[in-house]
Amino acid sequence: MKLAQYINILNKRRVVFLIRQLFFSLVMALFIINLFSLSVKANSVEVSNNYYISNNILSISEIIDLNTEDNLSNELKQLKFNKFDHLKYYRNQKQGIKFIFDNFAISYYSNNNHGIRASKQTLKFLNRINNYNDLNKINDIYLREQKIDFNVLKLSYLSEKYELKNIEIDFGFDLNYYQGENFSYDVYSADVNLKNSVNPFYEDPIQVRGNWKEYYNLSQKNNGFGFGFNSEIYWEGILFALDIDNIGASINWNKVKYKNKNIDTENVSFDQDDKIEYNSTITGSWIDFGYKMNLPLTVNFKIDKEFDKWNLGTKLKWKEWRISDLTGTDYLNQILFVTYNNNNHIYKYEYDFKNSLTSFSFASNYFKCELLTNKIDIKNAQTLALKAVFNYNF
Amino acid sequence: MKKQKLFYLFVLMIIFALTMAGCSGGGGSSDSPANDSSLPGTGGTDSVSVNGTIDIPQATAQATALATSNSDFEIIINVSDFDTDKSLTSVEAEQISQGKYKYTVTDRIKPGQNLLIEAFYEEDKTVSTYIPNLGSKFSHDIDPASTIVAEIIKKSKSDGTKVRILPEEVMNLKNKIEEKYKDSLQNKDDFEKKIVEIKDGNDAFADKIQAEVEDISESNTGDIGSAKEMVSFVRNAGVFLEDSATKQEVTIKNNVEAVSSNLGSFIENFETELSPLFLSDFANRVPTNAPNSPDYYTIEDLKELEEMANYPEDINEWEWKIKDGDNTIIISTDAVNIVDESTRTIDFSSTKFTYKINDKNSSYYFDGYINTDSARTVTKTVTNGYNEKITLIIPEKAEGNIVGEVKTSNLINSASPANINIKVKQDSQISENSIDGDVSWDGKLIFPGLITYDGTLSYQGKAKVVGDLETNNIYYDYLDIQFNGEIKTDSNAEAIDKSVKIVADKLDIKTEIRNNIFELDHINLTGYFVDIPKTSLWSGDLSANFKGQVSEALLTDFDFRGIIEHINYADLEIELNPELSYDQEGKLKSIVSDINVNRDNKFLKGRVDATPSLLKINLTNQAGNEFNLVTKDGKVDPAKSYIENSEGKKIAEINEDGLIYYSDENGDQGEIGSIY
Repeated sequence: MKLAQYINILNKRRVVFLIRQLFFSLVMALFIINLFSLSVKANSVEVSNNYYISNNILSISEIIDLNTEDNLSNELKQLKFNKFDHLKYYRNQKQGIKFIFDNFAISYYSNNNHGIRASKQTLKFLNRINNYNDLNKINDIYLREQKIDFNVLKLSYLSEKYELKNIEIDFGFDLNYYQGENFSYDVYSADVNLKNSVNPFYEDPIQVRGNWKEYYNLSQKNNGFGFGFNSEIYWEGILFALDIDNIGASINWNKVKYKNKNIDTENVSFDQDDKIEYNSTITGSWIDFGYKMNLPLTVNFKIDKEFDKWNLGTKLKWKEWRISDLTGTDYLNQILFVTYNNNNHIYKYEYDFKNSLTSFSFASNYFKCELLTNKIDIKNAQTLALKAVFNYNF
Repeated sequence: MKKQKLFYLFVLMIIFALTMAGCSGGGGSSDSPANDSSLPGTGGTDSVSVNGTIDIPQATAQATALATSNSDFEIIINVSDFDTDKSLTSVEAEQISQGKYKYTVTDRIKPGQNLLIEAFYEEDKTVSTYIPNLGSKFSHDIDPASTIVAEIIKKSKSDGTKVRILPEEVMNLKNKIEEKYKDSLQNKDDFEKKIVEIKDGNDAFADKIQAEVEDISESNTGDIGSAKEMVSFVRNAGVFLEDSATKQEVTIKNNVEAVSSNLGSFIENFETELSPLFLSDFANRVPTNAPNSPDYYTIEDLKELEEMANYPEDINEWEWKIKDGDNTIIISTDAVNIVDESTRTIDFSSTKFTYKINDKNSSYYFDGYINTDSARTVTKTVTNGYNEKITLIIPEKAEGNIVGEVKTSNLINSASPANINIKVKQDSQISENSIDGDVSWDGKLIFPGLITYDGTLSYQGKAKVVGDLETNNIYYDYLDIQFNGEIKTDSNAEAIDKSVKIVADKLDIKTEIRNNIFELDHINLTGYFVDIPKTSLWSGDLSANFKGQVSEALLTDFDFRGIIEHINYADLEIELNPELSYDQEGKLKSIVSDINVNRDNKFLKGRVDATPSLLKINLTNQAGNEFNLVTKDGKVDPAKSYIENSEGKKIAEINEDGLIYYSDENGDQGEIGSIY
């Protein structure tokens, strides 16, 4: 029930956004159609929404209790943590529309990413604030949070199938245009001593030494380009598919504000005459600059083979890094899957044995949905992805 | 851009605490009191002076002739504005000893200026010093080391650097120069050779120092240095103000509390002592001496009386005895002129009565008289013991005075009785069942003696009673006593100086009397301290006026005025005139104050206006920079919080979290600092 409500709320938030994008996409589509002087006939349109959330500590039901849209880091402090570990949290939402023509496709997606990494000590500190206990000194508080929202307009070309003996090959190229909507990246680190009295003038002082680096965009006009390549090879009932995206891709954020602040509450010092000087508790610097953000290269490789109504295969998905984790390492899915086709109703089961993720999906001519989770008991899962695609042929 | 950050969990706790502290700190800020003209270096004049010594490098033996001539040589000091190259003034130095001079410049210089001071000891040879941000703590002495620093700074400027260097940074450079060149600075020839090398760029160490000057200037661009320096002083002053004001406030509050609680109980006793006087209210109770009558009759009784029970033998001597609690009241009159034997008429309309409470041996007594006077009368016929009809003429509206002496041993230490003069004004209408009207008492209580209460209290005042009269119930709306005197108390526990003396300009006491019981409602006290409560850290004359209501909890407003100095900081001076007001629960409601803080020839002048939710600070420093801070509920209002230089250009902005953003000249980068 909560999950349904939550998704509902999310969708409401996105309705205005989607309508705007749909309108934009339609205009672009009409433009393209006009461009090809009606010689190219569109044959399908699909609208999709892909929502993915994952972390290593909180259950989905706990996450739903939080406002994940803006204030997760703020709301975290309400939680009483039962488990102290390094928190890794990712959220991604991708939604958009795609028009598919004979050899061309045009698509427009919004892509919202939010990621948090926090040290074990950070959670202990939050716990200390929420549920008083006697932790007096907490070092190595570390929290990193990034939000990246951008849109992608993708123009795709797909070649005819070429036959070489018993091998069929096709290939495609994508041109991606990125619109940067929103970007922020914060790194907090601190040591907190909750009891030591360092300031003679306040009765119950706490000593904090920390640093906060933050970046956020000031300009709304941010853009960039990238390329994609894909190819499919069909040989004796076996399909090899390769899809590489975000080749040389980047977004230029025109004006990014960078602030670097150090906090040190031990701000009382003595000057040369041994007189007390009260120094700034927070010091630092700021600069506005243009920032070219590279986007992570993604490579998907798939092999499968049909057996009558059944299809068996494996997939490798590799990302240079997760977009919600700017400084993170690469991310790999190793997937085995099986599908069953019953009169164009396709049921699919996938298992990612690298990440212990299970996925169920169903597809018909008009509709496709997918549920991905790390636990069948979804309420207690830490990872959940929902995908819905509506397809219309004309 | 709205950002809710975990970091605030760390920062906010501190900022919140400091904002609160800052609030009261701001409140503690101060202003020049009325007599500020007598205080050196205060009062906000822009006057500043430069004075120091001059050391001319001495020639070796071969050049003694020059040194000799030096002794007669007039040293002319040229003062110029370093930034504009404008010559401001020149003065002559005064010789102290061979090669040593002293100088003073007072005219045409302004605080905050960067000065170049050159002393010509030969036609084209100078020793000099660079004085940054005039008014800061900085040595004005001119010697070979200061000359080298000045030359390097001059060279940086001529090489295109916009020199921005803080006093302490110049000091550091000078120390480095002194260490490096300690040998060559003593000798005139070496010194002059070195100067030439530096000017020509042939000295590696000087080049290094010059690079340092350029680096420092770079990081201090765009008025950043000036703004930072001001903020640093504001922060320091804020902490000092907070510290001084809260300590003063607490001390004074404790003193007033001690005094007022004593005062409160004194007033209560005072009223208890005086209450019989008011309760045995003649105007409403015309007594008789009938043996089988109740203690007294009221006017109402009299009206209904058909027969005077006991017509006195001597018609000219009337006496009534009243028992009122422990007190016996005797009202008598010779009544010679009020009895008309021929018509058997007694006229009470204008009669002087003697009015006594107890006899002189009692611990409490009153001896006085009452006049009644009324133009309008009513006539009543009563029958006396001899069955004779007697006509009584009774004032329809009675007006009169009670004048007399009162003695109460509980209150008055001195044996001499107090004089009481109470005017009675009665405007009452006799009707069927009740008397309608007002009774007002207007008079003066004079206690010329000393009243001791936990110390010495001398009292001089007047009492005013205004009230309503309804039938037999006396109801005084309020009792208003003004107090002029001194209160001494030893019971101020927190006071450092145990014998705090308060002079009360005005003491208003409001009481209610219901069912013959006085109830103290409140005491309004307006006064000031004769001896200033001292704290251990601060000294000086910070007089405190206080006004407001005193009841169970101390509720009063303070108005400080004066100058205090921190005992550890001889050069720190804080002038305060904050007005502190409190709400009904004793919580601080508002602080309004002018501020004048002086330290090391730097000053901050301005005003603070604070309530628990709103804080406004406006300060100007010696360089003409203006600091503005407005916070609402602890959050800075960024639109109204900034620092401007003397030309009105914004040189720093303060964001809602209390962080200051100093901008460089291009405005696309800078430094960050916090207010606190």
